[in-house]
Amino acid sequence: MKQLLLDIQPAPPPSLENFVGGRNAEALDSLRRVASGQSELRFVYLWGAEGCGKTHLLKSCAMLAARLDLPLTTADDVHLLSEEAQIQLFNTFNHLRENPAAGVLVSAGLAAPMQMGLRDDLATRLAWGLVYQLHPLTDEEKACALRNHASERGMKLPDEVVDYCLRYLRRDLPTLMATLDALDEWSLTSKKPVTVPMLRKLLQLPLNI
Amino acid sequence: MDNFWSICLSRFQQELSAQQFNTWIKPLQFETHEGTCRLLAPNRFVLQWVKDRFLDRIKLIAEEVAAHPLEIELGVFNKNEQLPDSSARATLGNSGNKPPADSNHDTASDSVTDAIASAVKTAGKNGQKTTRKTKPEGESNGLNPSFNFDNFVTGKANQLARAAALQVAENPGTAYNPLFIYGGVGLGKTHLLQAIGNHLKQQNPEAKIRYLHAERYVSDVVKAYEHKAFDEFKRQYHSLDLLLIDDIQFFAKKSRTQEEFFYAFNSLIEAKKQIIITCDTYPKEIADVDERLRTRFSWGLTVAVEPPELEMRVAILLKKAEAARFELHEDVAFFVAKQVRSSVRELEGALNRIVAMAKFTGHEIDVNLAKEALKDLIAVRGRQITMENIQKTVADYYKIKVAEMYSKKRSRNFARPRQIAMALSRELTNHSFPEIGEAFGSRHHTTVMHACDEIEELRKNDPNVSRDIAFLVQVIRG
Repeated sequence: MKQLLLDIQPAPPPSLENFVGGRNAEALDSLRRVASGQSELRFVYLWGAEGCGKTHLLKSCAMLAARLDLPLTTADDVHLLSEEAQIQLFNTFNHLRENPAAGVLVSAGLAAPMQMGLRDDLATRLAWGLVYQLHPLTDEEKACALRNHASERGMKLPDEVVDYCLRYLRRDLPTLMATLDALDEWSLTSKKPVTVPMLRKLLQLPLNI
Repeated sequence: MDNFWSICLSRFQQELSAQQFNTWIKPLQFETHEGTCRLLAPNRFVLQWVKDRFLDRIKLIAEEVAAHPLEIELGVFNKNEQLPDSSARATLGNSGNKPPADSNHDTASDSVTDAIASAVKTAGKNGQKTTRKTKPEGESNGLNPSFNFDNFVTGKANQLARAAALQVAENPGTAYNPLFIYGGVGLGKTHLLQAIGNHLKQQNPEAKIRYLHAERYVSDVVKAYEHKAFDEFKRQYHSLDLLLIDDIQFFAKKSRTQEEFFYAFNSLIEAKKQIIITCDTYPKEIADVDERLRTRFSWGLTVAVEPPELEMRVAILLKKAEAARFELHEDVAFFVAKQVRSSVRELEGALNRIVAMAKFTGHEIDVNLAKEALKDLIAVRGRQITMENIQKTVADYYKIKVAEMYSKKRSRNFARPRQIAMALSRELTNHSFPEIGEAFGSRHHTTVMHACDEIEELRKNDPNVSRDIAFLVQVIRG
């Protein structure tokens, strides 16, 4: 009989602490300062390839600011903004700049501000504050991120499973994390520990990862 | 003891350049409390700077005046109370070169000076109340006191616009009406607009001035529509002495807004009230705006703001650094100015990043640090790296056919480039070993793993291979 799983342990919420920084330490430090109102700068723009952690960081900043009761606006995927949405972000930017009490803006997109074909008036504003490129993690850092994620879920993750993941799976973090979550869930339902054979079985299932 | 500080101020004014004096000495507040003298700086930067460079001199002058050595304490205004102070200083900065201890200010700045004094003395709530008391005025007219003519860096690119702006600010309604300033983004149009407003405000505190972005005007029209309050809307705009409207190109396709603006424009011009407009292009070229408005825009004077030349960009950086109170060497400023050409905003962004990096790493700001910091700002989007791309580049480099990447041939001439391409696929993409094997003629994943190990080994021991690979990585990354 299959053990039904009560979803009492959702994935841990994204935070600046559970983000493995790698070469992005300075960006993390700046985000922490800006989001907690400790910086004179109030505009940060992050860019980088898909899966490098932009959304994670945006959400983390929003939560940090909410905890401190500070106003913070985020804008994700700015490269996808329509003409109207760009004007809206432009207005938001101007409003925030004129009213320091209205808080800070953290935004993210796929490329450097001027490289996305956005309206010039918006793109130069994104380039005005602090701009960081998020660099992808090395395999060792990815392993570290996987271990952290597992321990936050309260999941026992043997080293050989981590090695196996990095060897046989696509190595972008969303794929790796999704695999880990699926693995955890399966191990809980089947009441068996996480092992390489279990992972191999899992990978043969038609999963969306 | 108060005369000691005014003596001090006049000495420094003689000894230092005006810029140095205004930056470091003028913002200091002097107070005596039960026999001790205190100097309060607006922030720690100024405090440290004054302590390092001017304190000895201040003590010397004090000794001279008091005929015995004096103890001078240094402190910082409470953070919460900095806001009213900085806005106040901008007002004071414009009111001539009199030192703050002088009592000849006009009434407006006097009330602000009082506000500072009480903000400095009373802690917490009271101080904030004072802040609020001085704020609404600034909010309703849309002016930001930190933009003035003094901190507008002038060069060939904008000297005409600046001269016209200054003339209009001196003689509103009579010189050129409207003044139409156009140019690309981030070149200082808003700064000029604001400077005109602040200048007039200072000359004539009673003048009714309004700065707003065109988008705001559009939303005001919409609100007037919703509340059927066009009379109030008209009263508000038609009674101004100076209307500063930014980015007029946002009026495109908004016919009701254009109509309202047409009336406001006529009424203001008729009453000899000044209108100043900025736009991203010259009047004839504005898209989707009524012909009658476009012709009116060119009634007065139309001036362009061009992108700044190299020397001006350097000057802008140095000025920004000075305002933020850190030292920026000229070679670094030149390096940054050469890299970032298009807009002043990007220049400022570059500077922000350099300062953040210097703070984070604890390194001094030099050209190398600047180079590192600018990578994120100006780097082009990395080309999408695919395995096909890697195979093709490696095959081209070793002058073999791309087909040899999937072929079964095992001679060294083909096998080595194939192994290199596999190793690079592992390094530069997120593909797994099995996926790489698949892309290289359905090879087993252990073959790929073996190739990666072997190439890793060769990279360490064979300088030729390691040089080839470094070159290939560069080409593939673009």
